[in-house]
Amino acid sequence: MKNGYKLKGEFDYGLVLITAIILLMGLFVVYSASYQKLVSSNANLAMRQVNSAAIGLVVAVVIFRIGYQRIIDFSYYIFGLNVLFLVLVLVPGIGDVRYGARRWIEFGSFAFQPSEFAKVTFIFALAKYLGDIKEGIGEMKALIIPFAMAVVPMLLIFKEPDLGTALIFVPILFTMLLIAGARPKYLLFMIGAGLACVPFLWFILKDYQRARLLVFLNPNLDPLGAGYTIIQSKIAIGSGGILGKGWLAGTQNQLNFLPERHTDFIFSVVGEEWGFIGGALLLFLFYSFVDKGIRIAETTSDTYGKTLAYGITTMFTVHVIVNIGMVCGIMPVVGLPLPFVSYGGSFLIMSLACVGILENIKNKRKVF
Amino acid sequence: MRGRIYSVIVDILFLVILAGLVYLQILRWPLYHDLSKKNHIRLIPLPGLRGTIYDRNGLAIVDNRLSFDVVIIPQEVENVDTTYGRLSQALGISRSRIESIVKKDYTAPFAPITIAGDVDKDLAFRLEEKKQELPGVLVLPRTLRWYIYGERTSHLIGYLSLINKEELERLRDYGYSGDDLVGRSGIERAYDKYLKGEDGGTQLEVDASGRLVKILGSKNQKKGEDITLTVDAKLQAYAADCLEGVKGSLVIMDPRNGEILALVSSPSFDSNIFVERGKGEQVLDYMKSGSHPMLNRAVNGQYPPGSIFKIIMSDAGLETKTITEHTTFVCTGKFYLGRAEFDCWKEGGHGPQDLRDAITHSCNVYFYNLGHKLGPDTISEYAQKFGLGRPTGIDIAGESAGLVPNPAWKKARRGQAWYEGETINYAIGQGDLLVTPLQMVEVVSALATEGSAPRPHILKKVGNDYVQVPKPRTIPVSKAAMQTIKSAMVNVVASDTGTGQRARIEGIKVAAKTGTAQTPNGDPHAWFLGFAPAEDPKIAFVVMVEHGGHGGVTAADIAKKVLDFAKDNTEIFK
Repeated sequence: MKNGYKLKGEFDYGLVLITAIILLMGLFVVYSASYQKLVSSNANLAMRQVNSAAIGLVVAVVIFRIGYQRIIDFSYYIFGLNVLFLVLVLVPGIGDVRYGARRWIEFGSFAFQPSEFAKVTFIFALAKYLGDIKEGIGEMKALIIPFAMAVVPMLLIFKEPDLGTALIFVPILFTMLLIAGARPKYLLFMIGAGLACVPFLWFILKDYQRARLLVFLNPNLDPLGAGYTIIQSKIAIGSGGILGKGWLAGTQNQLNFLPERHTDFIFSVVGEEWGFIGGALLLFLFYSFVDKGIRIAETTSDTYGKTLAYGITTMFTVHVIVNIGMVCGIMPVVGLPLPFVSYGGSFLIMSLACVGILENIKNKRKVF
Repeated sequence: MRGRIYSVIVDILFLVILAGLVYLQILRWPLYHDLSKKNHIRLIPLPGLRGTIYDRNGLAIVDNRLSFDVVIIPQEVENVDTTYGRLSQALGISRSRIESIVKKDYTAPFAPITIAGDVDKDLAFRLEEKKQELPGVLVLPRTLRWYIYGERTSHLIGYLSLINKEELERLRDYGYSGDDLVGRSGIERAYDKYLKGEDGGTQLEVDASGRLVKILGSKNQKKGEDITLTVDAKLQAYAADCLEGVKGSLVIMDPRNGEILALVSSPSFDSNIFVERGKGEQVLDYMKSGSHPMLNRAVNGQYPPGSIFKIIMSDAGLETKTITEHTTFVCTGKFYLGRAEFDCWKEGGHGPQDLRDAITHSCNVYFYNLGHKLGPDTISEYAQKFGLGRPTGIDIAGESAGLVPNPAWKKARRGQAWYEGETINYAIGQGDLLVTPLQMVEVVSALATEGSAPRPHILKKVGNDYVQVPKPRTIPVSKAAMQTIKSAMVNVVASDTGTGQRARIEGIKVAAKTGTAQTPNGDPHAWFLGFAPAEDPKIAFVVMVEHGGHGGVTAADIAKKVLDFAKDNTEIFK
């Protein structure tokens, strides 16, 4: 602590409250989604989600205690370790294949997805780089390392394959670069170069990924295959109407018409059972969450903290917008879970940890 | 600054998503609400059974029976090779046939495909026992309309087939639907509205793979009304057997009330074929066959009556006082009209004949003389009086009217004058005159009852209620004339010179008239009609055999067999 500064020691109770409400809603929805025991042989998904939430809470508190600044110092190492896990997950015998994708690493009875954590460790590492380089970011060559930092995990995650998680690195990268002061001209150049690669990317895409993109354009192309999910999801949400069909009473959900409804398509259960009221409420809560994130980012004077907060906020924003947009049929199906709501331990723990980081950024805010 | 832009972008993105929710959940709610309903609700139809058809003694003629279909549910078949292999073995059809059926009829993974319809009961049970070994193969019970007497009642009963578009439009309001079977002919058609059952159904809630979650509600199906016919099933079956192998028809009616006791047309078809699956070829065979098995010869066959028309001629002569029962003509075997020569069937002639003799011997020359005196208009007047030239009104649809010619008709229809020679032919039931066997049974009934022509009908009861039958039509004839003709008809059978003596029945006096109607090609049509017992008629009958030769032989033999059977095996004469 240098002289002239004093720690305000603020704590954003509102952010915690919003998170708690979303999480609680999520538990009810996951319970409903797994109510019919058709989703998984181990049907008690809501209980497992509570366990993950408890772990996430502990992690969040620990990170809050440690403080983001200390983590920033080690962020290159952590990021490097995470990339190593991303490589390991692709090695047969270590990585665990589920739903046709190799995304999990098992430690005894606990399995985790390195890709979920890679988003945050990437944000930390990039925040460190941007904080270190300061004004130097205005130069073209300063952009090389950030791009390399993004592309390596993206390619590894893409290989798993997990298109959604791989693509989320892009908006995070651009947001953080812009906030740090990168010149839009250079970034546009980068985007142009990236778009030039799109035709080549088409050939790298797996068949099912291509199908999903085509089906996004026209879900009726394959109503029983790739389009099935999106059609059923739209029916679920649309049939919910204003008031919804009631908790545990969604026919689309309870009668097993919605595949993946406990994970990526969880919002269709919200829409069907709780209607527009429930869906809009959840959307409003997420908006408030993101708004809090932006305020925290804008009010911190620390460059590291600011880019970090923007990175985290962007990650949540993209998850929420892409996920809900996808189940409503206005975005392609790329498989991003809905924060605090979708079933899945790694992402929930990571999300809660991020809340801890945001609180810490706010807490460490220095005022003159 | 960049923070503000970021905020605005975030706001816009959230607003877009909110708009998406408004669109889906509020604006398009009706559509998706409807879709979600359809998605998980299935209607399992429960077809309402058609009513049973009984004969006058309570014997079932048409009923419903349980049949077994072997079906495949594609998604449940585990090993296609062994399943098809074993099915092919069990059903005796080739593997490639099974494959082609599956390929042709496949609609959805959960939708059953019928591999074999109406299989043997034992086979069905054997397959059912092996259910565990052959997942995806199911034996489904289905009720089939069962025509117990097969070909022997089909012209009377008719058959069923799928409702067509126009019928559906017409009958939709009466509870018919697109996959309903409707009566196509005979009783099945005439009384479809009684027989038709009311379909029920069960509304099920199903999950995405079509599994039952719960039953939402159900409407019980209702069986159609049972009906009772005037027909005697045993007599009908026996009569049908007697006509087997010939082309012809037979009608037996109670002359007192018009109840049809038997109505046979031969060759026939099997009504069962039309409701069994995969019998389309046989149906086509029926349609294409040169012997026209689908034609109901009893009500739609129109033939020259030949000598059976002489009973109407006789009445016309007596009523118009052109002759008395004692008027005599001498038959030399020939009748001359100008230079034209008309033969009697008996070479050398019958000698002097009064009316009774002429009927007994079926003397043509007598009737040539009578016809010549009466003229065509009087003949046609009397033919019409007895109901010829128009449908009898029997409860079988599409009955033919026959044709009663006269000079006016010929002028109008053909633009030609009536030749005198035609009158001579007319007198013995030849020429343009056409009658149906059913019309002739009405004629003979009127004779038997001495002037009352009942409305022929087949329906006796609907459920437990007797149907109202119109009163018999009274024909303005004198009882005396009738009695004269009747006594002559008794002689036809009883006299040793009578043409119908082969139809004598022990213990019952039969009155009859033979007919041998000339046709432009082939042997003449054989007719034999009459009533019995002569003194108190309980049945009137007509037998007609196309190209059967002498009515007194072919047709009379059939009549005798059927009457003998009726006497020994039915209640009719008791």
